[in-house]
Order: sequence, then structure tokens, then C-alpha cells
Amino acid sequence: MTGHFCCRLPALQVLLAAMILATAIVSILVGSRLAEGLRDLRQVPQDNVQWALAQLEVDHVRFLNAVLRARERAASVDRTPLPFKELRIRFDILYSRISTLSEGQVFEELRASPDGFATIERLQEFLAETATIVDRDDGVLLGLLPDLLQISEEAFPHIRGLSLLGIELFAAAADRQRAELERQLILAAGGAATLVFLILTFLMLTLREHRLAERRREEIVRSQARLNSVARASFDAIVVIDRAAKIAEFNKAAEDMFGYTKGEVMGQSIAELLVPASRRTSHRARLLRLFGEGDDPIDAERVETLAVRRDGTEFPIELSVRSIRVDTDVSIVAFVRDITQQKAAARAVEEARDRAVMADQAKSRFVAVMSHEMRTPLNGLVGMLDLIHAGTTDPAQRERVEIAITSGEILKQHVDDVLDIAQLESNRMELADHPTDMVAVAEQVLNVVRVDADRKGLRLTLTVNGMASVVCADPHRIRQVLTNLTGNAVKFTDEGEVGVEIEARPVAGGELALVLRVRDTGPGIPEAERGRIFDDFVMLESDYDRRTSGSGLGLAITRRIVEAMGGAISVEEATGGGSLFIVTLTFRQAEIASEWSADDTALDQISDSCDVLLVEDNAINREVVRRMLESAGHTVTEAVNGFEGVRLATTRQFDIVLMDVSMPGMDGVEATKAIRGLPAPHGSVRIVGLTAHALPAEQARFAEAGMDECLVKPIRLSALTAVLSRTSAWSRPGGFVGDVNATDSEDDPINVETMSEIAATMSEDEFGRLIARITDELREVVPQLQSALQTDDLGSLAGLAHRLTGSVGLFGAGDLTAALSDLETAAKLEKPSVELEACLSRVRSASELTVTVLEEISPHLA
Amino acid sequence: MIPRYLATMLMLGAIFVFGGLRQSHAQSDMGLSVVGHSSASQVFSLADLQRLPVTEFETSTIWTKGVHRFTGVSLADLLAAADIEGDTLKAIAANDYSVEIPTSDAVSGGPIVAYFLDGQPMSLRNKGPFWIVYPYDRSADYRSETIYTRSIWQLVQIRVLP
Repeated sequence: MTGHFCCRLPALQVLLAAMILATAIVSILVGSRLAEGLRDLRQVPQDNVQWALAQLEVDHVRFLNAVLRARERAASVDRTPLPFKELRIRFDILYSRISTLSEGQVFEELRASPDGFATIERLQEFLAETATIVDRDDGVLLGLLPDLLQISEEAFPHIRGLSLLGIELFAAAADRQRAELERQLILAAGGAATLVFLILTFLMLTLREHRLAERRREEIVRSQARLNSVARASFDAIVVIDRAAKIAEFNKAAEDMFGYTKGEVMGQSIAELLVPASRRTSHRARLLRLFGEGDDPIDAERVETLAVRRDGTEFPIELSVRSIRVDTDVSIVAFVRDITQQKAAARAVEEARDRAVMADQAKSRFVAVMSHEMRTPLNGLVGMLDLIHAGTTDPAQRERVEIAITSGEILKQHVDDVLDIAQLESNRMELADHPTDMVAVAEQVLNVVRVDADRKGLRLTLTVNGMASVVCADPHRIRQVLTNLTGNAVKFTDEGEVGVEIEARPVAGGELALVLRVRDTGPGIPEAERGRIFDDFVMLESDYDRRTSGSGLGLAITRRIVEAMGGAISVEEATGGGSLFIVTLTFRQAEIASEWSADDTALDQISDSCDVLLVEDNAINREVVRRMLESAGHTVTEAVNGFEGVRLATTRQFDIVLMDVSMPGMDGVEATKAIRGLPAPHGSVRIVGLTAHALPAEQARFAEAGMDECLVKPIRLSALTAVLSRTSAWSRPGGFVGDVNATDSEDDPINVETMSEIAATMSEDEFGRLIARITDELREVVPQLQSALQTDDLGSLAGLAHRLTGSVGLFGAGDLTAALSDLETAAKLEKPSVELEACLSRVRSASELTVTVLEEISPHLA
Repeated sequence: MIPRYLATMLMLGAIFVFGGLRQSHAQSDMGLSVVGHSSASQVFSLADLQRLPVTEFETSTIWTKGVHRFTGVSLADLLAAADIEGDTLKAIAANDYSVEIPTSDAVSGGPIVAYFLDGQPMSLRNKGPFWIVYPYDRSADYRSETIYTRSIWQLVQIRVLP
């Protein structure tokens, strides 16, 4: 990073450097020019010139002197030898001097001036003229001496003039040279000054830049230190890897988490050190994507995965990774959080929830079982009371019996309420989908409550608005809602009337929007209480409440049912006082009216005498029902179990079979199936189930087995009579008619359809062998489950449970399958042994049932 | 004036006929006197000097026009031949010019005592018969005022200063 800083000089400095370079070049040029000038100054010998010019005059004078001396000597006596040697030498010297002037480079300037040139010309002429004289023989020369003198003297002003001109010219030249030198010196000095200035500026800027860079570097170091301490202080492990997936950073938390020191891991492969073998494939894929390769590149990801410590232990982590791109370099930073604690906590919460759910389920089961257990004796109680009532003529006795019957009914209602709440609580309400005539249901409900209303002198009215309201709904539940609302209305109203209004109008998609209104002229409900009355166990503190009995669950159940059907319920004050309950519901419109819906109303219909086969293991119930039927004029044949029932149904043609569902050995469902397997007409006899199980799933099972109808215990004479009255014109209808209908068959010991399909694919023998194998397996493995539990070998327990689940699941043995998978789950979660025991006991009972059913039913299916 | 100029022209014509002959004759009798510490003067004629090792170079001078070929004996050879030792020489010209020359100047590639200019003997009128010439073109060191003053022509005597 710092490297980048240094290399990036500011533009100003680049400019300055260029200027310095340029100035330096200029200075060098100026300097070399200056040096050259100085050299010229040294090489052009001005002094020499001055000397030469001065010497010219000297040489001329000396020549004149020589001429004069020669003339004196010539005039004297001694004439031999003639004194011309010196004269000639002096002339040669003068000649040489003038020649130099006219040739020498240093006198160029002199010659270039017009005056100088002319003078030199004249001097050369003088030389030539003189030479002609000097070079003559001595004798001739002697004679010409006066001429020579004259010529030489005449030359004097020229020589003088040349000398002066030379001084003038060379002085000017020297001035020029000095000026030029000075100019160049100034230039050089200016260049040097500029250079110095520029260099100083550059230096200053560089220093400033340096200081800035230093400060930046310090900042970077500080921020690096901060980052490092942040990384060190982080509770999350921070691991950075480079492009080669090697570890490039490893903080303190990472050291603690993984058990390696930073020095040990730096440069090592992250996959080999920190990723468990099982996760390396996904690890590699993730890296590829983070590095921007592959089909689906990503920048960051947060996943839960596993990591491995130095000691080889694996632990769950939350991994947050992000790729970091600096220029073209890619690295990946990973924040790793050990979530062992969170996982454990989450598991604890899950277990707590599971336990709570199981406890809740156990409660629900308990309630359901209890209500069932209460229903059976109640059935006997009320049935017997009915018989006593029918056979008693003493009015006082009859009244007592009636009170006993009413108490029994109230008790039954309470049991039903509790059962309903239990079902609703566990969100297990199953809704039938029958064609239901709302008006018929309402009439039926009003008929039921009419007894009470008449007793209190209340009017009951039914108003129907809008179109025919036949919808696909659950008639039992709607009846329950209306019964609750009208029952309450009658209960709390002392005088006036209770009105029921049904309004139906079509909405989109072939549906009908229904509004059910129940109005009374009672005391009404205070506004403050209206929001509360639909809650559980709410009983308003009023005189009426104390007068009436109730669990306080009625409206709560009503609300739950309405909500389960997707509707809403509310209460407001009716015009003129009293309460107005409004239920809004939307149903699909039905094609036909339900036959069943209004049937219960035929209470006092007299039926023809029927030949009835009663299959019931419970002697009390058998007695009760037989008496009821006989009292109505029917003929009853009893069978104490399923086998006997089937045998009798095979040998005789009955008008109707009343079949108890829960029987040891072959139960009602299986017996029904067996009968349905008989050739006509025995196989097509009308079969009506008797059961304490009101659950839709159960009902569906009965229908599937071939029952035509179902009566819920305790059996009432009226209901029994109604069923039998329909039997007189019996022809077997296409559909099962029951209180409720459902398709769910999860709780079946086996799924008959599945079994039939399996049976259809193989021979009888093969099917038999298959069944034998499964039953053998169940008999063999279930005790093994027990011993695995006793030796606390939960692994084997889970494995065996799983194996069995597969085997029995084939036959749709819902109960057993559910029990087995519960056991498997419990074993895997290492639940306490009490819980495992409970699961196992469910498995045992379900297994027994399944084995029984399989062994008993398979011959029929095959 | 005009008649004298005409006469001058005539005389100039005569100078080429006669003057040349007389001059070459007059020149041959001039020699170079070399005086050492012993005060004994040695006179080197042109022929004597020609017998010494010949040094020759081409150079321009500030007193002549163009580049000329100078032939002569190097000052070092001459001093050796004359068996001269000393620090300073004094060179004297016919025109009474004189200059001191340090013997340190007498090096190989240094000044010569020239006797030929472009292969011809030099007359007194043409700075002859001897001329101490430095190889000015060879080095800027030889193009200084000092060297120019030492370049003495019409040389007649070299003596060693005590």
C-alpha cells in the first residue's frame, strides 16, 4: 500500500522536476557558451594585437633610423662596406610585420573595416615600392636613399593611423566581448538562481510529501494495529485465506477454538486442518463460488456447518464468509462461531417442547379414554333406565326414572363436552363433508329443544330467508352448534320466544354464505361479558347460571367448531333486549339433500319387525340392545364375538346386523369385512356399527370395512328404532352413512385396500407366506425390542424399530407404524426409559392387534 | 603622384626579377645561435638543423592565413643536441623581441624550431629563417596568450638563463 503512495508523485512535483531538468539543460548550454566565450577570450590575444600594432610603429621608426644611419655612413669617408645590412634587416622586419597585419587571423577585424583595409593596401603598396629599392644592388640603393627616406616618411601617417584605428577597433571589440560575456554571465547566474529556486521548491514539496506519506504510514500502522486488536479481541474466530486457500490470518479466538497456534497454521491448507472430511466437498464448492468461479459466484454466505479441532473433535459452527477483492487479488475472510451451546440449548428447548407435546397428548388420550370408559357404563345405565321406564306404569316411579334418565343424559353431555374440548385442543377436529340441509338440521334441533321450551312456555320459531340451503358440510357439527345456541337460549329465557333464522345467499365459486341467527328474549349478556363468553369454562354469575347445570364449555366448543369450519361467531344485544348470536359460515353448495340429516327426527316411527343379528361381546350391552329391539317387536339373534357373528351371518339371512366395533379376537370391523366377503345375499346384508368411537377417522374405517351406518354408544332406543325403521325398505345404498365421515385411515391396524392390492398380485399361498413372514417377524422382533431396552442398547432399539416400521408400513398398519416410529425417535433422542417403556408398550399392543388382524383377515383377502 | 605610382609599378615588376635571387642568397648565411651555461655559443646553420631529427606538423596560427605545414627540429631535440640544461630559456629575435620559455615546454609533441613553411625555407620577411611554432591546433593549451608570446619568429638566438 505504501508503495503505491511513493510511486504516485503529485503532478506539481512532476512539473517541477521537468522544469528543473529544462533549466539544468539551459544552464549547461549557457555554461558551455560561457566557457567557450572565456576560451575565446583566452585564445584571442588582444594584448598580442596591441603589441603588434605598437611594434609596427617601432619597426617603422627603426627602419627610418636605419635608412638615416645608412645615409650618414654613405656620406662619410668610410664607405666600405656599404652600411646597408642593418637597413635591409630592418626593412625585412617591417615587411614581416606588415605582412602579418595583412594576413594574420587576429587582424581580420582590422582588415574588415574600410579604413583599415585601405590603410593596409597603402602600406602594402609602400612595402612593394620600398622593396624595389631595398632589393637593388648596394650601389643603386645608395643612389636611391633619399627616395627611400622620403617614401618611408610619407608612410608614417598611415602607420600611425592604422595603429590608432587598431586600438579603436580592438577596444570596441573588447567591449563587445565583455558585454557578451557579461550577458552570458547574467544568463548563467539567472539560470543558476532559477535552478536553485526550483530545486529548493522541489525539495520543500518532497519534504512535505514525505511528511504526509509518513503521517499516512503512521495512520495505516495505527489502523492496522487497531484492526489487529479488534481481530484479537473478537470472540468469533477470524480466519483469512488467500487465493490458494492457504491460511493467511488466524486470530486469538481461532487459536482457542481450533487448538492450533497461528504460527502452525499460517500457509497451511484450511481444508486439511479445519474442515472435517465429511464437509470438504461442500467446502470446496463454497470456496469456488466465493472466488468468483463456477456457475453461481457469491460474495458472502452464512451457513451452519461443522468444523474440526486439532484433537479431531467436530463441533457445530456458524460460518460467515465474505470474499475480499483488492485489485485482482481475492482473499476470503471467515468469521467462525462455535454454536455448540446454542445447538445444545435449541435441542433442550426442542426436547422440552416434545415432552410438553407428549404430555399434552397423554392428557388428551387420557381424557378420551376416560370419556370412552365412562360412556360404556353410562350406556348400560341409561339403556336399563329406558327399559324400566317403558315397563313401569306407576307415575311416581316413572318420574323418578325420568329424572335418572335426564341425569344420565346430562352426565353424557358433560362427557361429550370434555371429549370435544380434548379433540379441539389437539386440533384434531375432523369435519365431514356431507350434503346437509340446513333447514332440516335446524328443525331437528328445534324438535330436540322443544320439550324444554314447551315446559317453560316459550315459543320456538324458525325463519328461512333466501334460497334452498343444502350445502356440503358436517351436519353433526352444525347440529352441535345450533343445539348449543338454542339450548342456551331456552335455558336462559323464562318467557317470550327463541327464534332461529337461516339466511343463505350465493357467493362466488358455487358457494353459499350462511348466516345463522339465534335470538332470545332473555336477560341478555352484559356488554362487558360479551368478549369473554366464548372462552373455556365461563359461567356468568347470575341466578340463571345457578339454576342451570353446565360445564361452561358449551360456547367455547361452539366457537371452536365454527372457527374450525372457517366461520365466525359473535353476540350482540337483540332488539328489545335478549341476546342475538350470529354465526357466519361459507359452504360449497350440495347437489342433493342428505338422507341421514333429518332421519333422527323420526322418533316415533313404527318399524316392521326385523330379524336382527346382534354381535356384541359385552354381555350387558348385548342384553340392553336385545331388550330394546325385542321391545320394539324385532327378533334378535346374539353372537358373542366376531367369529360367531360371521358364522351366523353365513348360515342365515338377517335383515340387519348390529355390529359392535370393539371386540376381542375378530372385532366388528373385521367381521364386517368377512361378511362383505360372503356371496350374496349373505354378503350384502345391512350392517350397522355400534361404537363408542365418535372420531371421523374411525367412522371412515367402518365405512371402508363395509358398514352402512353407525350408531354411537350409548345406544338409545329412539336411535335404534329409527335405524330399524329404515331397514324395512332396505336396499343397500352406494354410500356409507355415519355421524361423521372421514378418509383418514391412519389408525388402522392394517390398510385393507393396500392389503387387497398386495393380495391381488400373488397367489393365495404366496400371500399367506408373506403374511406369515410378517407376523413371524413381529413375534420375533418385539421381544428383541424389549431386551434391547432392558440392556439400554438404544442403537439396536432404534434400528429394530426402524426395520419393523418398514415391514409393517407396507400393510398400512397405521397404529403400529406410528408407535414404532415414535419408539425409534425416542430411542434416537435417548429419552428416559419410562418414555421408551411407554412407546414400547404401545408397540406391543399395536403389534398384537396387527398380528391378529393379519392372521384373521388375510384368508379372506386372499 | 601619378608618375611615382607608375615608377612604383615598374619597381614592383623588377623586384620579382632581381629581388628573389638576392634574397635567397642573403638568407643562407644566417644561423641560430644557442648559448648554454658555459657561455660557449653554438651556431646551428640551416643544414645543421636539418641534420637533427625532423619534426613536422600542420597547424593554423593566429598570424597567418589558413593551415600550414611547419617543418623543423623539436625544441627538445635541439636542446639535447646542444647539450643544454636549465630551467628557462631566453629566445631572441632579429627584431629584438625576446621572450622567456621554460624548458618544461620542450616536450615531445610540443614546440619546434621551424625552418620550413610548407616545405620552403622562410625568409626574414616571411618570419624566417627560424620560428618557434607550437602545435596550436593540437591542444587548447597551446592557444593561450602565454604560448603566443613564446611563439617567437625571426629567431636568432636561444640562451639558457642561469
